[in-house]
Amino acid sequence: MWSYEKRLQFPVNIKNKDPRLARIIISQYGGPDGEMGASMRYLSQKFAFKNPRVAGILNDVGTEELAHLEMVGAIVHQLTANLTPEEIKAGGFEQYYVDHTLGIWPQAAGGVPFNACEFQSKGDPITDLFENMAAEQKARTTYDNILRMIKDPDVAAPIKFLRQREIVHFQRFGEALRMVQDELDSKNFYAMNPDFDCSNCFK
Amino acid sequence: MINKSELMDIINKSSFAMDDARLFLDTHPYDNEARNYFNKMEQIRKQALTTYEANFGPICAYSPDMSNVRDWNKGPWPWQNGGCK
Repeated sequence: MWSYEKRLQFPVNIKNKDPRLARIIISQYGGPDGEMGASMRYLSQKFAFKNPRVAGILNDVGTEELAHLEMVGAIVHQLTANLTPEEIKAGGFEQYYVDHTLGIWPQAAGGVPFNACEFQSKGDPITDLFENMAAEQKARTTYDNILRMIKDPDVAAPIKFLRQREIVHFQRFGEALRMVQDELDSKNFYAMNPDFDCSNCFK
Repeated sequence: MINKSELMDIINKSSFAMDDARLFLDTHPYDNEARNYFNKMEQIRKQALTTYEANFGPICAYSPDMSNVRDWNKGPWPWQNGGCK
């Protein structure tokens, strides 16, 4: 289960509205490499992982991703809070506004809705951990792309924090992959699913 | 004088130190330096959290002292502008 704390993992206090920037940043809420996909990916994958320490890494990283999802939602919300109809038009926000007003909804920057097909839960720890490492790098690239569009330090600070966490999570998943492989016969690393075809893949 | 935003800053920083150290300990469970660091941050967080909650209302849904539970639903929420301070 989860327990809410009334705080963000890293504070978000944005003074200046910027609907144009919000349209880009919403991709990290519900886009292809966003925090909704990240949290659902790890928190779904964990059930099939048999090594308890590796399953625990998925659980802890997935939990942190929920906190990141809340941070991205807070950034988009504060960039668009109390927009007037004139500001909505001037900021190119009318296509989002017509369906969601100023509510937060998981979509990519291009308007594509969040879809569970943006992540996998394959029931194979090696397959899933490789996906997770790639996912962390894709999210890091997206945050780099976002940072090039930002001048406001109030927005850049939490985005830089989120970018750094992608790098740390990549490192931890790399270590998790090693923990899984350390239990295996090296001849079989990539030939079978160690949590399904168990008979002859462990040392 | 207890400063609300300074306390929140200590809680956020010590909690994040624990978040990061927890992930490190997940893959390095026998690293004593990391474990000591985690415990030190936990002490700092506990002290700041107790002071904050006694004076400014609950942060954690399962705090040991929920005598001020009526303040749980009082704004601002952390995602609202100024709610992180």
